[in-house]
Amino acid sequence: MNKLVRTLLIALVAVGVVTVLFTWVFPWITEMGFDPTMGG
Amino acid sequence: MTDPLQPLPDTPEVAPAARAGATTMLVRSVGWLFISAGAFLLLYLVWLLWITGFETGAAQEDLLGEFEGFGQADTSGDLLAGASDDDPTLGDGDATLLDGTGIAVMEFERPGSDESIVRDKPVVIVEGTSVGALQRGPGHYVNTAMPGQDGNFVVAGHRTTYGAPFYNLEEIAPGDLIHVTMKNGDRFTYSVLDDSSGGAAAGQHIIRPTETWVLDRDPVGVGGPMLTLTTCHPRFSATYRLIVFAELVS
Repeated sequence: MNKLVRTLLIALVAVGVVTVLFTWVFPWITEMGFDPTMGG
Repeated sequence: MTDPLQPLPDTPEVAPAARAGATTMLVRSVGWLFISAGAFLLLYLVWLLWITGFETGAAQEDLLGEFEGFGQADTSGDLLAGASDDDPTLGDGDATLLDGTGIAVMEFERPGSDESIVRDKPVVIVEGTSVGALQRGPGHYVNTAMPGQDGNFVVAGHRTTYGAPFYNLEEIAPGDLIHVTMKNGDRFTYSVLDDSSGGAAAGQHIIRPTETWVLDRDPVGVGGPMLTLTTCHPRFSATYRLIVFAELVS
């Protein structure tokens, strides 16, 4: 596979993963009560 | 016929190589697992400490919009569910106030100085101290007095995360002024008291989270309307609470 295409695909997946984490996963973790700052 | 004392051909060479391959794969997998977990936790902290600020910033922008034209009466009705803002029950931590609704704008001032303290910009105080309410801004403890009322108007705010409205609360000093402006334009000014405890600087108190006496009607014997600000202490920890008391001066 072309190196540029591969790099772009990896970047796309990384952006997707971070978006999913920031939008759904992390807010859900916080709602579940896990917060290292304990709401400080 | 094969000599039984002779080892099978290739056996001694192949087995260690296979074992080494499996071990390498295991170590590599565990390594990637740790790297992934570390990246996950790092991203989580980035989200918690900074990204949540954007969410709160957007909420504050919306809330501030409701306070446009300070000093002009706003009877649009969105402050209360089914009551106007001159409702006599408004000041009693009335349950009809919606959780997370903007109730007042707070600003800090050091008399005789242009230096900005605690915050550069005004911040909207919302009703309630639920997790959701504090994600929108500093929250008014229900069942404590409303601004200007006789009693203790208590406001809690995040020290870090969700816009960190009280990140710099430790900058406050005795005599600093805290202005609280209501939607109907009523403006109350509180002056920070000159007392301290728990090894804090003048005008500040450091207490344990269990010391809820600070929410009392008159916790330090002011004998009139007062304001109490609470936040976590030290930064990035909730081991203690940083408290500021102020009395109504105008």
